Amino acid sequence: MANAAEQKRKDERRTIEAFSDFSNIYNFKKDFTYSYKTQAGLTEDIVRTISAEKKEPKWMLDFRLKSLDIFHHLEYPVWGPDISELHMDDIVTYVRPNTQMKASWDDVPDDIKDTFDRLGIPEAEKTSLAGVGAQYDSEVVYHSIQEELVQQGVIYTDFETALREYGDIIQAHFMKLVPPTDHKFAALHGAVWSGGSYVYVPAGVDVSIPLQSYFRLNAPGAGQFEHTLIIVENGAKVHFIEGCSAPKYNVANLHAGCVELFVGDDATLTYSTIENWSKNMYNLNTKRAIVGRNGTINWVTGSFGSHTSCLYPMSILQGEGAHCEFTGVTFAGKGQYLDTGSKVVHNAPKTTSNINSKSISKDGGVCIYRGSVVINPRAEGAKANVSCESLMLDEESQSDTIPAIVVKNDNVDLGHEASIGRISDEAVFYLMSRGLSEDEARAMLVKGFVEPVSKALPLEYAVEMNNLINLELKGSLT
Amino acid sequence: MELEPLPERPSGRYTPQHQCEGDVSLYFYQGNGMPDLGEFQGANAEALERALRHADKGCAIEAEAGAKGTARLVYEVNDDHPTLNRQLRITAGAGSDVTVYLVFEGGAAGGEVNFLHYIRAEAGAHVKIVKVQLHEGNVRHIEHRYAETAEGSSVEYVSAELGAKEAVVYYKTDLLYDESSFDSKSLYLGKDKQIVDFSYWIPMQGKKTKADVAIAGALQDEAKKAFRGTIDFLRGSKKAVGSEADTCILLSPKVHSISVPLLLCKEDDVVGNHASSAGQIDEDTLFYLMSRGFDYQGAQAIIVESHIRPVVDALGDGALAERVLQTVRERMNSQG
Repeated sequence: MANAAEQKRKDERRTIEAFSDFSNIYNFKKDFTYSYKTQAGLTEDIVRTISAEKKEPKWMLDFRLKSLDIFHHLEYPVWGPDISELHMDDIVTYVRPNTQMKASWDDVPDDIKDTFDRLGIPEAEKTSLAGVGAQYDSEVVYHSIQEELVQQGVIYTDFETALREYGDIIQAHFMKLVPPTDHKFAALHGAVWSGGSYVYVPAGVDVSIPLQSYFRLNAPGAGQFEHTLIIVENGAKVHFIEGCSAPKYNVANLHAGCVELFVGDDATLTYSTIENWSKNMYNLNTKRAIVGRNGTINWVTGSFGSHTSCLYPMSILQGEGAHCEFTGVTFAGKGQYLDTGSKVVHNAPKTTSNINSKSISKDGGVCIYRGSVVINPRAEGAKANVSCESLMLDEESQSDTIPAIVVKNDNVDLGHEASIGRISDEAVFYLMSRGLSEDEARAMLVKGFVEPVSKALPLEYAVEMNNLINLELKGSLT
Repeated sequence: MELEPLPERPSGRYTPQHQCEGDVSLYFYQGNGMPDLGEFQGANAEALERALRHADKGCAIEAEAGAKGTARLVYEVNDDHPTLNRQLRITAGAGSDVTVYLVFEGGAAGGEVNFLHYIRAEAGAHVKIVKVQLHEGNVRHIEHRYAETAEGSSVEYVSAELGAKEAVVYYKTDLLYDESSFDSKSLYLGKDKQIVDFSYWIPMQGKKTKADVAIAGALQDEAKKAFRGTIDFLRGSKKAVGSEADTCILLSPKVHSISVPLLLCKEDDVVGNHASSAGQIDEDTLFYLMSRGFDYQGAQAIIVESHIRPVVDALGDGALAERVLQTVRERMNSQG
């Protein structure tokens, strides 16, 4: 008995220690070293230099220069969060870390390896992932994929390698879903993109365990502009997980990545994101998927960090019977303005979509749900369902829902509901009467509130998200 | 909202049919009889400016404290007076209960109604405006309505938008004082290339304030409906409750339904809900009705009628309700 009790105490201590460590997982800083970086700001010379550094084909340089021109001609968005404190002249658009891309963790330089060790990436690779990509500042430093998947024709590599080895495919797909003309930050991405991942899953192949890309921004005042391109051929299936983090500096950082997802007929792609950018980050990311006949795109997102976010994953349901499922949770604390949501365009008959969005705001944080569902004339028999729930944990916070629903044919079934409220005092009282402290009761209710997202994530990521919620509730996340 | 300019037409000093019952007074005035409307923007800046600065003939309805009564106004557009650029000012004293019935009818090529309301409900007062709009399809109907509520007062709107080529309504109701409330129910039936455009703006700042907006209707042919509702829970609106609902039956493949129901919230101790839905008539219900001897159009009409019935019942006037139902039936039966 004594041994069992002792063992239990040890287990509890280990859990507490692990939890204590968790608060520092994301916000450790490494010395800022690099092998090359551009000047701050955005000029044609910088764009040409990035392209030359990467030894890119001419078409890509031309694309970058065209995007730069578009960037200079487009206005900053006037709707949404205030981004007037973001000055492009202060942002360094390219920082190459002190290493080339490696295929083995042992070859990754110690300081970078230590970063990803602390984030748990090698451990996750061993236990629950089919492949891993790790990007440090502007470049991917490590990439691996299980040999068995390679044998099946699955490609998972960094974007620069993909550009060299699969140039025709990249040229056919690069920024076709998100053209540089789309908005100012898409144009910026087209001009200075760097790093990212390319995934190709051949027809009929089921990648049963997830692939993960992790993006770590270490350089103060830098931008990260990774490009993710995933092609899932007809009947194939894959789960891709994206993780993001950065230490906090007292200067603005910018993340303007771009994700383009091509989902074939009868194919399924699940794209999960747990974002925990530091609170000096402007996260102005663009993600878009196009889905073929009876294909499915599942978005699972947890947005925790950043100073300001504008993130609205968009699904274009192009083939008959295509389906989109969006499950997202956003948690805004002090000084954060998280403007998130989802956009779905129904372009074909019998397409279906489900949007389930949850947000929590605390300590003056601002959560905005900004979404859109468009059912076009061709989408006869389309079904769409939108549900937004917002929870406010105090009277300083703000929570808005801004949905737009456009229906252009009569044969549709559309439902939308939204609610804003606080944690019910009765529920807190009930849990406290069962022995929980008030804080524990509130944390339990918040975790119950976001359960649909937790359930959609693999166990390791659900645990990570619950830990992030605990930290946000304690206010200890910086 | 952007509107195509219409040709300038002379506007006379037409006096609408009017009638009062109970302890309310009604009189007409020339020029601008509106108080300062602050930041009220109306449906369209140019139209609001015209209604403020160049109104033809305003109508004022007033009730003393504790008074109770009704007023009826019938505005008709015809070739003699194709445009009506009007004001209506309603002042309800503390604890009063005022109901105003407004009927808009008639038509004229290039006709336009540009109507600005101001409502002031003093503490504990109740103001109800029942509006039935039955213009012919050659009239543009624009309505700007701004209401200020005092503590414990309530403003209630019941509207039927059944006519006009373009029906554009913009309602702003300030619920800035405790326990004030706003309730609005509207029905519409869009036909041909008709545009029906509803906008609501409800800032809520008082404690225990309450707002409820519901729109129910159907679209046929190539009609277009837009609903923009904004419930804004401002800091201080503790225990406030707000909800907005937009339900639309789609009867033709060329209709266009837009719904933008916003909930803005800066106060944690509130309950806000919105819901919208759009869809076809349930096939099982249709089949059931047809199996009981109704033809397809008749069955559709019954379902649409049952959908809008709660709004019709809330009109609170049997003759008006019957007129609305008759118009709905006629429009449904003439469906191409």
